[in-house]
Amino acid sequence: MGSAFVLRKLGGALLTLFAIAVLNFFLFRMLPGDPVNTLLPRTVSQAQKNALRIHLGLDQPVFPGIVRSPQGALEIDLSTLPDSLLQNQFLTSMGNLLVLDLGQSFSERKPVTEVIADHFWPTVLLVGTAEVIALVVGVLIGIRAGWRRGSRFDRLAINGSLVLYAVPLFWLGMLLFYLFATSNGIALFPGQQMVTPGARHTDLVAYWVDVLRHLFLPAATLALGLIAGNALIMRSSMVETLKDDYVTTARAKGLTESQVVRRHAIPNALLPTVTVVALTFGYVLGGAIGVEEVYAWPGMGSLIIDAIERKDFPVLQGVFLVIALCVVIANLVADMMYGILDPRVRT
Amino acid sequence: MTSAAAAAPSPARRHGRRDAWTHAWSVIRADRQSMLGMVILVVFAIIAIAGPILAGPIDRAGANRPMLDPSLAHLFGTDRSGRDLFLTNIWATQVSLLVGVVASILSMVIGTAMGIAAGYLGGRWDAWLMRLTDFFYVLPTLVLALVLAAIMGPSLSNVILVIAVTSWPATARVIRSQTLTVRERMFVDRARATGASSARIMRRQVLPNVFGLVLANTTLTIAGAIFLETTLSFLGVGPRDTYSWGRILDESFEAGALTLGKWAWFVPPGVAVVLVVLAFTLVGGAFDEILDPRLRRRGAGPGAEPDATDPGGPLLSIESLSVPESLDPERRGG
Repeated sequence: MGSAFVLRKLGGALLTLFAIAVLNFFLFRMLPGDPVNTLLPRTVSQAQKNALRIHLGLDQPVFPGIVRSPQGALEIDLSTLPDSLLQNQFLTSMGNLLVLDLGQSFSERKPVTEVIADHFWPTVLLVGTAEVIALVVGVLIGIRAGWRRGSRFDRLAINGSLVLYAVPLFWLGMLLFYLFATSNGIALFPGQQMVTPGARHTDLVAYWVDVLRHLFLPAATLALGLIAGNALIMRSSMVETLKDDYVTTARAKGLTESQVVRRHAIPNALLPTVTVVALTFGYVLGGAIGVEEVYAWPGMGSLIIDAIERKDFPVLQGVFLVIALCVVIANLVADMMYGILDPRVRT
Repeated sequence: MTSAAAAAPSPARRHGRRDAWTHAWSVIRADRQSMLGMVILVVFAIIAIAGPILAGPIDRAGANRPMLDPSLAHLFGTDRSGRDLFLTNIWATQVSLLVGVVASILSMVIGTAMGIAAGYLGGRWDAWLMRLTDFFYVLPTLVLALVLAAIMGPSLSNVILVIAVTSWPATARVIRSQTLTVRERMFVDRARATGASSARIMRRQVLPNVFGLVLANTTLTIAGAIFLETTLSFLGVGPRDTYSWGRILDESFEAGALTLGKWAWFVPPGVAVVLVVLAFTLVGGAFDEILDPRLRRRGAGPGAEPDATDPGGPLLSIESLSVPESLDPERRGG
């Protein structure tokens, strides 16, 4: 892969990240009123408010030539100009970002970075498990449906996927919860949280068994939603591949149909599918929010909802940045994989 | 404007358009799936329009009779404050469909304007507008919508605005590539030769020729918008002054309907979402067939010429894997 291609993609990703940081700055400056009042609970002292005001640079103009009036509205004030080019909230906030200072969460009284770190791994565990299940099952269904195109299995796979695609994941989660975690159905699994509350695990094995039991339903919910998409993508990839010349050649060489499919069609059809998984990463994180809410899974989805309910804007801002960062990285990985798979895009 | 192509639709063209509609209808009628979709949509449209008039305002069945199980008097039972849930669902149908339709129209206007401008003006305009589109396309829709809704505050108009602002990029991309092929067509050259301005050509020549695609996209965008509204309302940032399917689900969840076994509280609104979203997807699939020249019978309606290659596009794109547009996860918003 040419280094120019890598550099160009890397540059694009960095530009996107910068744009996200800028968007993030202006989004949260859109909040009406004094940011300190929206960023802090009403109970803190005036001294704490002033400390935050100076830390965030809120005593400075918002942007070169733009100040916030005492009423909270943004106004153009050109008299601040020469100084405000270097001293403004925008530059201060970008500087804080560069040193990974996302501010303090006021509901947990910890730095935002620590709060996010606490919730990061549960989401990785949930999303990772669901992705692996969905990839394996979806690809297997897609191979069979694409190979036997038009068969009863194919029709069933397509129609099933269409229906699954119309189901809101959080609602699917509610149904599975009702059926398999309450006495109204068969209470096979524990309902909420990641571990049984108050349980004292004697060893690491017992702990992980407990976590896996809690993980089963939310991961199954998320996986069901992803299987539909993966199966359809793998199916059309198979259909396209089976039309290719080298498949015809392989058939002409006298290989059996199963050899053709296994050695030639599947490996070639698989690679684009795996790449698409990287591209739909943002959607998976989005879907995980509702599922985490239903199962009270202590991940970033639950964190977003809590932050919104408590008006913990520093946390909300931080989670938004972290999720956007993950999505940009996933897209970069997908771009690189395309570059490896298809030399034509490296122009 | 003396050129025939630039003039108001001639009788022949109008005739052609009617043919296109007849053709569209025959495709839908011949396909069992899209016919099913149409029937579901008509039923829900009737519920949304006539239901609230026939059923009257949501009346508390008596605040002293909350959490009733389904009965003949209360088909879906009552909620925590004694509201009849059957009535609430009928009103929610109106709100959910309304949000879906209005948000999609807004989103289509933004997406179509962006797509036509980028595709027709080309060059630097194309580069910058598409960079903006890709930026919004990359951002996870639901997360951005949640943050925006949290900042703007919960209200019906804010939720509509949030959905429109977060869901236009997919449309812009589709319309742009269609515009690129329309731009190369003869009648656009002729209009340009007669001295028509870019704005006029975009309005009078390009827009009518991408409009079919815009409509087809609308069915999918509405499905996505209803999906997004339901999720936002369930997560607690939806409108608080009216009931939508998502809000009923939110309240049932908060009230512990799952553990209390109140299935009639959370099953009907979810089934409604699934049916409507599925119906829009099925009808959208028929539109794909109507508009995709490869699936189309020869000489059916205007614009039946084969798809030109996209000179500005990437050599390999996700579309080339032929993921059906209706299944683009970005459209679901969670």
